Amino acid sequence: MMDQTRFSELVAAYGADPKRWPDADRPGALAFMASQPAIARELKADAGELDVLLEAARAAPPSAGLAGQILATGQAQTRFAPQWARLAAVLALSAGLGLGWGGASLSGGGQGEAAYALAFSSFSEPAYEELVDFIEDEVRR
Amino acid sequence: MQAFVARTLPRITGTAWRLLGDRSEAEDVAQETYLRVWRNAERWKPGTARFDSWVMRIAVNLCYDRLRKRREITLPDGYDRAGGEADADNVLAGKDSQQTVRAAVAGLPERQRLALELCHFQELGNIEAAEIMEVSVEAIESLLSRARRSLRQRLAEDAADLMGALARGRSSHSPGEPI
Repeated sequence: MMDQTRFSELVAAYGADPKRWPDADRPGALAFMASQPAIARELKADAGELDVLLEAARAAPPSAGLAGQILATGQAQTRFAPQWARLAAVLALSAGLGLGWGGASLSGGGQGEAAYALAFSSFSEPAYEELVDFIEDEVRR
Repeated sequence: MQAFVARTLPRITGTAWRLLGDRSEAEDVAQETYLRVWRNAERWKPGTARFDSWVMRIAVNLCYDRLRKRREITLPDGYDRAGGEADADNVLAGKDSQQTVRAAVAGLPERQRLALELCHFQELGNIEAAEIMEVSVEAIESLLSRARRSLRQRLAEDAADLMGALARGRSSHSPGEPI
């Protein structure tokens, strides 16, 4: 269980809401709260007040239409994408079809291309997968 | 791709607005960030920072470039803005509670402001924030502690009034202008 000093440091840095506490610290901090509720409540009081005040300083969402402009610009850019983008799309498609490195090697197999293959076959990154899908769609047009 | 932009765009514009304090510039930075992502995606390396963190890092660097240019153009040699404290103090004298809190945050030094935006407002984990800022998680915690301590001091005098005003504001809430 976390000690009082560390709990105090945690609240001073991340505020009173456990959802903002680091994953590594949260279980220990919650255990401290359960075992020392009065002390924890007192330590959290000031931080909780600042959390409330900070809500007034939250950024508003971006303008309507900005996302559309960005996507349109991206589509225009990708139509003139450098060779690596086309290569990446092919490699991503290869990986998607289960060809993996075998499919990738069809594209040449140089060291640079191998690096691209590694980068673009990393489907553990959903955002990157989305980017590859986008490039692939644009290259097909 | 739409999902990717929808997820990352508010983070980018929020961070850019926090650092630059200007809506139009924040949106310019967002557009430039995505252009760079599309043109330079091959530079991202798996096993280093997360892709989202890498994208945010591009946005933060673009903001720093703009801040650097501002300082070169508008400030004399040797001038230390110290996080815009003078600006914040001026607005603190005003009556608008939202402006008061925003000005207090705007008065923090850049790195504290960025850490607060990433960890508090965007609720990113300390590891992801550290990736974006290219510092250790200990440094993130230190920046956050200093930021919150400074804000408490800055807002302490008006805290009770602000809490009351913000509570009244929430009960008659109208959405603010987009940044």
